Amino acid sequence: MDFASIISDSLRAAISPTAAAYALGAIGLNLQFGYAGLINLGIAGSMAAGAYGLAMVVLSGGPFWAGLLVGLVCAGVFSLLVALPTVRLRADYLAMTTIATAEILRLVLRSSWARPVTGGVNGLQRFADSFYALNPFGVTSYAIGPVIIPGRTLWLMLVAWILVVIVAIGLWAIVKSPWGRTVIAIREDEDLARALGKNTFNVKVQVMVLGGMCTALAGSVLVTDQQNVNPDSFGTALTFVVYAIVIMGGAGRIVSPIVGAVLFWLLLALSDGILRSLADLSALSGGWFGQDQVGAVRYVLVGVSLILVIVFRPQGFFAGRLPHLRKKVTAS
Amino acid sequence: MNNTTAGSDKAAMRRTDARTRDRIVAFSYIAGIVAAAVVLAALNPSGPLGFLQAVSDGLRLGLIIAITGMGLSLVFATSGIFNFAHGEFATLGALVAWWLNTALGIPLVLTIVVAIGIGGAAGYGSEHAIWRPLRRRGVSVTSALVVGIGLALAARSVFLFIVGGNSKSYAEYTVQSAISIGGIDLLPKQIVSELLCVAVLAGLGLFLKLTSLGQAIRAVSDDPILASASGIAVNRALSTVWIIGGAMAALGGALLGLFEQVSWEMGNQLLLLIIAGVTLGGLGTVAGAVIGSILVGIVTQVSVLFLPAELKYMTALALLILILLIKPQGILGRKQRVG
Repeated sequence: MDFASIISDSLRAAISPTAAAYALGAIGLNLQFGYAGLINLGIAGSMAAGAYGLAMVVLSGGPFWAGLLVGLVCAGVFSLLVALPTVRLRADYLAMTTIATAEILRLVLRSSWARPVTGGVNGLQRFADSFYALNPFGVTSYAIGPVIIPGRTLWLMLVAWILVVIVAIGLWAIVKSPWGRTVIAIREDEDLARALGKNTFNVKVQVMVLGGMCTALAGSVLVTDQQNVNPDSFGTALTFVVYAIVIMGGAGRIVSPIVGAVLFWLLLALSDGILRSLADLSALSGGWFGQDQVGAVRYVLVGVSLILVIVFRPQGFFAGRLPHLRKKVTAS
Repeated sequence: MNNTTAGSDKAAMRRTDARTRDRIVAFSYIAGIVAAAVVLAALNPSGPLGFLQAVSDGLRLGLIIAITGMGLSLVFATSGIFNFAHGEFATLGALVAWWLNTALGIPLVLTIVVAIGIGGAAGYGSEHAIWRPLRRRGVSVTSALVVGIGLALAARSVFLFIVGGNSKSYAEYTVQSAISIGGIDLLPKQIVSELLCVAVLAGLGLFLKLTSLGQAIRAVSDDPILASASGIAVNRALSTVWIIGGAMAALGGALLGLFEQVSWEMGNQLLLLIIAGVTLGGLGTVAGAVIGSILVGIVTQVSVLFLPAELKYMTALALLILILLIKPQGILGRKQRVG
């Protein structure tokens, strides 16, 4: 078991563009779920909208930044369409509807009927060349402490984390504003907010759209990293991982989703590394625990840890205000 | 004195009116759907016979959705938890039936019986090990939802881990020649499956209506605190609901394996259909779950006549969203606040 490489791999994963992308997604979800108390189980849908918007624009000849903007708009429109009929509903129904809309989007993007535009099951590839053309680091690898990162990845990392900081600061400013305080009021006691004359419906829709646009950036970063947009990577598993990050990091604060994302990927890569070494050892001695199984175990670990966190430390590791919903589960 | 009697009579009439009004509303929804069906039958490209064939296939699918989703609806009614992991009971049932059938050569009928038992045990186990402790801690609805999703993901991963990613089929009843009744093709296994589903649903209805445990379950779903104060063993009722739900879902999954491939993610695909069916009919009502599920099944199959087959689940989901917008309580649900 090569601990040095496992640890450096884990550190690399913790600061990778993937972690930055999930941080962006978690910030967006935190706005919807942590600050407004809306349980939106369809963030994979808005991430897909952002990612596909980017890829489709670039592949039809547009510049990269235009693709990013279009991705933002697509996700905003998607979130708006989802929000308008659903923000009125209570938690269970909102959850069901948002999951259904995200699945509908995924099925449509995946279908052969949409293949000319979206690439169907195979998705779209090779759309990030113009982004990497701006890369000042070249193809050499750089060493940051014990971690070695190739130039292209370093470029994306830099851009992604700068985006995270910008979005975080922006959102922090928004949350401190009167609008932000209305959002928190909605979470704590919506009837009171409405009684005080706030248009809670509008504010909730705005929260969904704003959060959706943050997740669009997340989707864009993810697919730029992989140079591949695939409909099946935007399923409920993605939504769940972002929820796990938000809940474990602690909902309701700006910084906690970022820290949550970094820690999450650190721990996940660590466990992956250990499991993979175990799988190699097992394969050498003729056991059944192979590399395929490692991928499956990953989600078991995530699921179990999330359940443990919810049971024993529901406010997450960096406690902010827990999203407070009046209705508790009945029957004892 | 006369005034009070007249007043209470009027109040009684108002109450009846409200209930009759609900019934009229439910009826008009169903009438509207039937009317839409007649229009579709006339207009579709495969002709009325193709439409009837789709309805028949939809009925088969719908009944399976009904028994699989019944547990979800009952659990929601009694404990207020919407269990996103419910679909995994179906996968469990199908995988158990498949494995015993292909690896050990046991006849499929017996393996399905075993699958039902294991499903019931899994339901009981998950209630005891996970949901009861969560309820006792007073966890919020949101956390319960997220736990359900986590559980579903973990279970799916375990299935993937154990049986691998390929789709599989049973060793028996894979190919059958269809019987033609009035121009519609029916497979023998389809007839058996549908009859079995109807029998199970009828049995459940009788159980809930006639036995004391069934009445306890109904009491708990109406008002758990009052039920507990009346001396009803709430925990026993809840455990029973989970056992029944898990067992029925396992049966549904095993039956679905007769018509579609068995795989580690069957439950997930089924789950959205279940959610659509159960919500369409009214969460927490048995009759509603049945009607809603059958409707979802039929709509899914009929949509294949008009849309590419891979989008057929999309119509069911669109129907779900539609009903959530118009009448979130579902066709037969009681009018209550959902927002």
